[in-house]
Amino acid sequence: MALIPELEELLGNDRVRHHQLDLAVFAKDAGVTRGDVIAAVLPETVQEVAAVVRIARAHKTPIVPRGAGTGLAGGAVPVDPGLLVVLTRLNQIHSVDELARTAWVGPGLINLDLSKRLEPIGLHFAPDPSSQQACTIGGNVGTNAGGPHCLADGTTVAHILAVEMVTADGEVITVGSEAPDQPGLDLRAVVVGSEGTLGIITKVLVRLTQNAPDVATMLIGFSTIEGAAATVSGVIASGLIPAALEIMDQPMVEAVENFVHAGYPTDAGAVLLAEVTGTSEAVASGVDVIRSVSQLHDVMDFRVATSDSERALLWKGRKAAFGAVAQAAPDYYLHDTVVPRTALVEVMSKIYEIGDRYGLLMLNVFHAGDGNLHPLVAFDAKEPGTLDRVQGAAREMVDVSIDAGGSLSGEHGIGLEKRDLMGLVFSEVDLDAQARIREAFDAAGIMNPHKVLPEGSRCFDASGVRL
Amino acid sequence: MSDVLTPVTIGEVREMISDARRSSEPIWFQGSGTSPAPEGHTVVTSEALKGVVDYKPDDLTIVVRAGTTLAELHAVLSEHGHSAILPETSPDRTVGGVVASGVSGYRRLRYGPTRDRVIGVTVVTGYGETVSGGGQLVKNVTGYDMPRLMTGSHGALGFIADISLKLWPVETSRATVVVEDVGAVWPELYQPIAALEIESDGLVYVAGSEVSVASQIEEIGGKELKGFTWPVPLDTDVVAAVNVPPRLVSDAIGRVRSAGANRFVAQRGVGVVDAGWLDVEVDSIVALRAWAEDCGGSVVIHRCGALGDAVPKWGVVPPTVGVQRRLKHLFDPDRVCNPSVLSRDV
Repeated sequence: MALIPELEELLGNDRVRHHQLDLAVFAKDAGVTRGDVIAAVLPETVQEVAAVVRIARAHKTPIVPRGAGTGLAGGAVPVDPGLLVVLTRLNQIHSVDELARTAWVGPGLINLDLSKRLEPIGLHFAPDPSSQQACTIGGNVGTNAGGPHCLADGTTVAHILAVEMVTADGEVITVGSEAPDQPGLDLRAVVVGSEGTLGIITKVLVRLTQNAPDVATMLIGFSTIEGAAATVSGVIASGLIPAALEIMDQPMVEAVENFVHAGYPTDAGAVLLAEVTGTSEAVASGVDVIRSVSQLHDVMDFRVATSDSERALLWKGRKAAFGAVAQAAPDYYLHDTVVPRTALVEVMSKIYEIGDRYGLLMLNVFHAGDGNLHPLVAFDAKEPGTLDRVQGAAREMVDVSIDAGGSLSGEHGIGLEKRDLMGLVFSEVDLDAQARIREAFDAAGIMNPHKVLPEGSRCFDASGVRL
Repeated sequence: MSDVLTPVTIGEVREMISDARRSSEPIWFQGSGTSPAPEGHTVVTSEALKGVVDYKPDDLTIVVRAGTTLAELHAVLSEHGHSAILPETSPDRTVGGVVASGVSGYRRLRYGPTRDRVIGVTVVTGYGETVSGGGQLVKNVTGYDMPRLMTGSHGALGFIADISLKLWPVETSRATVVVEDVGAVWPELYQPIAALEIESDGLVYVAGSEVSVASQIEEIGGKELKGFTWPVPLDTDVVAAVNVPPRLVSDAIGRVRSAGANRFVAQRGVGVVDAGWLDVEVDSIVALRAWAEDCGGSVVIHRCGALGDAVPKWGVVPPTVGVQRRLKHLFDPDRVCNPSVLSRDV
């Protein structure tokens, strides 16, 4: 039987999508790359996922797992014509263990929905990417997603205790466990952030975080972005790791303010959104520290949210930043590099210079506390030559980040977008070792092929001789 | 007595592994010697590979050589008020040994396991090649997470030569509060540093600014010990870790007591119960292990003492043994690197 009829026999016609419109919708994630989809399937159980994998394997068809499609690096975009396994229907909360502060959830569960459901018992899932209203837990695991609150809490990998997955052989395995320190190699650690290349995630054991008894959110305006960055460094040097430290530059503040009217100071050179959480005493002393450090660095305006609604509004400004850019231009290219925190000012000035040189409209909002930069270029792809200029600038921004001791991605992942740049940070031997991790899970190479590692990464044979 | 080789450069480690491949003689990587080499292994010690490679205080990151002891690391970091949150009560162990064994300290409840601190590694694999992963960045998703994979690999994939760690500022104020029922106290607190139960006492550890610590002590309402007072390390003949889902810590304590343990340190909220016996029946340990494995946990023998090899260090074969075996083969094809660690089936 041909691939599609076989899948339809398994799932029914309704859950095997291959009409023109479906294929167009599923051929893209939130980035700029378009792929080639044979069909998108919507399994509802782990057994269905396993059966789909076995069918695809028998037909030698590449498999690409997909969550909500909010990724920006092309991780869920099939390169060779591939079968998209869409996991949004595996969206249950299977169980919550209040004492252990863990929950088993489906990969299709929306990030924010989990935290909302846990609100009554005072817990939440700490990773909070800007797309958290739409992105799925499975996608967060796939990319090792971040978000503003990863500064104190760590990225997704620190919040994932176990993953049930279907391997390329169609077997169901669980990596990690409810108990700590499972004997053997920590396969869970490489599955998190593997961008769908090691298997299809079907269930996740997440670690939950206590909601803080008290919180203070501050909006601090500075006359220069250097002042904001120096405040970030100064606060951390003082021994305080706040819950979040986010910087927005003037163009971004203006776009956001026009969009959400949160009272952001549009005359400031940059704005620092800072948050401290903890006991009321810890919060009060945290605010004092941030206030006194900011006073050393061109502060223009220091505001502490006085109500939950004001706090929510300040965060709405931050999280709506990418939507706000639509006012400026129809398309945007969002970068994601990471540098040592102390190199922020130097790298930012080079990035502004690159943007100017390419004549691009650039806005910046970034996770300053952990050196994770997100220059955003707003453009109109219909203008001839523009996308080439955007991509030329992107490449230069990567180079200046790496020259400063940084790396390709802080939280979005490598996918297709940065696959061919991996050689900038890894040697041939390093890449071969990474390719071996992949081979241990999927020797046939059918799970999300052509992603993360450049072609030819596996370049040495068993005796260490170049293939 | 095994031969002991003391490399002074990573290049020498590569040569030693390549030699071992040629002669098919297994190597035992050793830090401070917590796990003695099995019969017939050549020891490669990290003791001459020590020191700070790169400390960036303002970025809260440090790179050290494997043989650096925790005490040496502590001395460097405390000058800047930093901590790598590694095990608190074993100053003579090496950073390489701690990372290779994946052992965590008591502050795991608040700061997570050691693994969450390891942001970069340089490893000499069983091929004799040098592989790096991660870097000196606190946030980084560039490629597979080699640093976390190597943490707890027990040298089975190669020799961990350099380690890049994420650091934390040391809290301004710290206290230990002695309580009767730690199991009831800790869930009511906001992010305590640790909640330990030992044979006679419960201990809750809190930290932060002075006012914040004072208010937490008042909330808990027990006897206060200044600073962090950690339990005395278990020095019994037999020592094992009982790892269970955190909701089962009370049950695990009960089981450890009825298995006749003379000492134990249970980590509430984490699920690790370290237990020590002066004298123990093989059957008791076997029964304890069977119970823990039934609950989805494990019992790992850290010191076998009079048990000898009557009880294997590890228990049941992990269900992912197929992938683990392939990984081992792809990093150490001739099985020269610590071939007898992990489950023998890996």
